Amino acid sequence: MRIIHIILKEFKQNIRDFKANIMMVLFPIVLIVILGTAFSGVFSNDIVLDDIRVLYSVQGDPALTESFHSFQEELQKQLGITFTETTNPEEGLSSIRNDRYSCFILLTSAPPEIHVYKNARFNFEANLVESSVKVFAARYDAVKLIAQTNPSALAGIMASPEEDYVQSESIDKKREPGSLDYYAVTMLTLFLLYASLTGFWSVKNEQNFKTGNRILSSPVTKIELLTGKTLGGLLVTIVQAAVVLLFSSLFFKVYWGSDLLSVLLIIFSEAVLAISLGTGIAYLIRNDGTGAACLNVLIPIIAFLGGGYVPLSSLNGPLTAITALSPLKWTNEAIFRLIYDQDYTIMLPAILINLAVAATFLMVSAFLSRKEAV
Amino acid sequence: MSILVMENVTKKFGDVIAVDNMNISIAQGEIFGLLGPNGAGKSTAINMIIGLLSIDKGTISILNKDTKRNKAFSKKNTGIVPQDIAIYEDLTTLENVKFFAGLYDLRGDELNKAAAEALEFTGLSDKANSYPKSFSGGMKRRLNIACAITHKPKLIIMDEPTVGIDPQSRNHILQSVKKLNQMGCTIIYTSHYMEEVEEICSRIAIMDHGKVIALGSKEELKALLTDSNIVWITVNDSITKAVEDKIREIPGVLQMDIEENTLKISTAKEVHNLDKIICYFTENKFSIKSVESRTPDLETVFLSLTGRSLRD
Repeated sequence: MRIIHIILKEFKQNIRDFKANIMMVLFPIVLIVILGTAFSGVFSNDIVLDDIRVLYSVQGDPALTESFHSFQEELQKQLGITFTETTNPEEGLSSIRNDRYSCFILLTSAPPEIHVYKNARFNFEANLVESSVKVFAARYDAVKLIAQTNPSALAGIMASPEEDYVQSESIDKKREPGSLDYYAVTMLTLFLLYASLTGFWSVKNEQNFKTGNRILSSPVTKIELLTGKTLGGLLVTIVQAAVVLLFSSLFFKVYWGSDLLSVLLIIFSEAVLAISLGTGIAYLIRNDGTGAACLNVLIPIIAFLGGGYVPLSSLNGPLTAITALSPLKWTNEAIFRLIYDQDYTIMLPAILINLAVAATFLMVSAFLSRKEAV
Repeated sequence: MSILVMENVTKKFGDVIAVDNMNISIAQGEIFGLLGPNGAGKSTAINMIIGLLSIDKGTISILNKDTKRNKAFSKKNTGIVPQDIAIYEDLTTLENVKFFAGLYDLRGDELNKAAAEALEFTGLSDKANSYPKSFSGGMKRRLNIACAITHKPKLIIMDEPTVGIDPQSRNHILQSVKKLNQMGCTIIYTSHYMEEVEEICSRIAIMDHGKVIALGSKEELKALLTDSNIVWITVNDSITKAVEDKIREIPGVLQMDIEENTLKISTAKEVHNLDKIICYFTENKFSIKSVESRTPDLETVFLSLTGRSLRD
C-alpha cells in the first residue's frame, strides 16, 4: 500500500510537469510529421509508369513491318506506350540523346535485325520495352521457321488469339513501412529513451529537496521507495507513449500491425529500460549536471545505432556489429518485424535485452541506495 | 514511563566520532530541548532515532522497544519535522499531507480525517487545495509540521522548525508545540533560538563534540553556574581583540562574549574583580555607558559549557 502511495505521487508529479509532457508527447508527434514528410520519397515503393514514349523506324521487309505494327498496337493497349514512327534513323538517335523518348527501335531488313537504343534516364521504361521487343522477335522467328518447315501448321498458329507480350501476374505485395509508419515507430522508441530523464530527476529531486530522507524516516524501506519511484515513472511513461501511439494511429493513419499487444509489450520493456537507466545513473553519478549530461549524450548514440534517426538496414561491416549493442536496434527491429512480417523471432530477445539492462541498472540503484548516507 | 531511551549510543564516520556514548532518557509528555553548536552531533543523534542512520554501538528504544529490531513500530510512533522543508511544491497542501500520512499506512476515511485535522491544527485548512509554491516560509514550515503529525505519532522530533520565518509564524509554531504536548505528544525540540528553548522545554540536553555535556531542567542547568556572576558592560567604542585579551587576563574572568559594544563577562563569584575591569576601561580612555549584573541565563550556561555561542 505504501508503494502505491509513492507510485501515485510520482504519477501526479510527472503528469503535471508541463515541460516533460511537451518533451515526451508533443516532440515525437511533431518529429513524426516533419521527418515523415521530409523523407517520404526515401520510403516510396511504387513505380509509376506514365508517358512512355518510343520512337521507331522500320526499313524494308513488309512481313516484319506488318508484324511489328500489330505488336506495337498490342503494347500500346497493354501498357499505354506511345509509338511514333520516323523514317530517319539519325533523327531517332538524336531524339534519344535529347531525352525526348525512352528508346528508339530500329528494324532493318538486310540483315533482318531489331536494334533497341535506350535512354539511360528512362532506364526502367526502356528495359520494359526492350524485354517486350525480345518476346516479339522470338515469336516472329518461331513463326517464320514454322512457315518454312511446316506451312500447313501455320494457319492454326495464326488463328490462335493474340499473345500477351507482358504477362501480368498478381502476387500479394509485402507490406512495407511508409515514412510516417517508420518515424512513428522510431520516434516513439527514441523518446521513450528520454524517459530515463524522468527516472533520473525523480531520484535527484528527492535527494536535493530532502524529501527522500523524509520518506525514509517513515516505515518505507529503501527498496520500497526505489520500486515505487520506478513504477510511478513507468506508469507515466506508458501513458505518454500511449498518447503518441494513439495520436499517430488516428491522425496519421500509422499502421501498428495486427498484434498491438505484442508491440505494446516491447514498448513496455523499453520503458522499463529507460526508467531504470535514469535511476541507475542518478545513483552512479552524484553531480546532477554531469548525470543529466551523461544521459543526454548516451541517448542520441543509442538512438543512432538503433536506427532512430535514419534507417541503418543497408549498413554492413563493423558498424552492423556495433548497432547490435544498441537495445533500441533490437526494439525497433522487433517492432518492425512484428508489424510488417508477423515475425516474432526477435520479439523475445528484444524484450529480454531491455529487461536485462533494466535489471542491471536497478540492481546498481538498489545497491547504491542502501549505501547512500543521509 | 520513558518514550525514548538512548544507552551508550555511538556513531562514527571514519575516524570522526559524531556521537560519543550518548545516554538520554525522555519521559512521555516532555518537551525536551536538544542544544548544541553546529557539528555537536545533534543531527546524527536525531537521524539515528528516526532510523536514517545505523547505530554503531549502544541501543535506542522507543516505547521500550529496540528501534533496530522494531523499525516499523518505532517509525510509526515517531514524527519528524526536518530542518530542511521536505514538501512537494507540485502537490497540493492536502496531497502532501495525505501522501506522507499514507506512508504510515493510514488509508480511506481515517486518512482523510487525519489529514483534515492536521491542516486544521496548523491553520492551513483554507489552503488545502493550494500549491505550496506560493506559500511564505512560515506557511511551508507549518505544512512541514502538518506532514509530521497527521499519523498521530507519540514522539515528535522538531529539528529547528522556526528557522527563517516571521515572528508571527514562529509564535504560531511555538503555540502548536505546546498544544501538541498538551494533547499527549512528547517532543524533542532543537533550535538556535535559546529564548524558544527556555520558553517551551521542560528539560534540556546540551551536546558538544558528540557528547551530552549537560542535562537537566532550565533551573538545574542555570544552577551549574551558581559559582559565577555575569556582568554586562557597554562602552562607547568598539572592542578590539587586544582589549578582549587584556580583560581575559584579569584574575577571576571565566568567560567572555562580545556583542557590538557590549561585553558579557562571566566571573568567579568568590573573586571581586569588577573594580579591576572598570579600571582597565577608564585607564584606556573608554567611556562606560552602563554596567549591569545579572543572574546567568541559558545562553550563558551554553557559552560557559561549550565555549561557543549557540548561533556560532
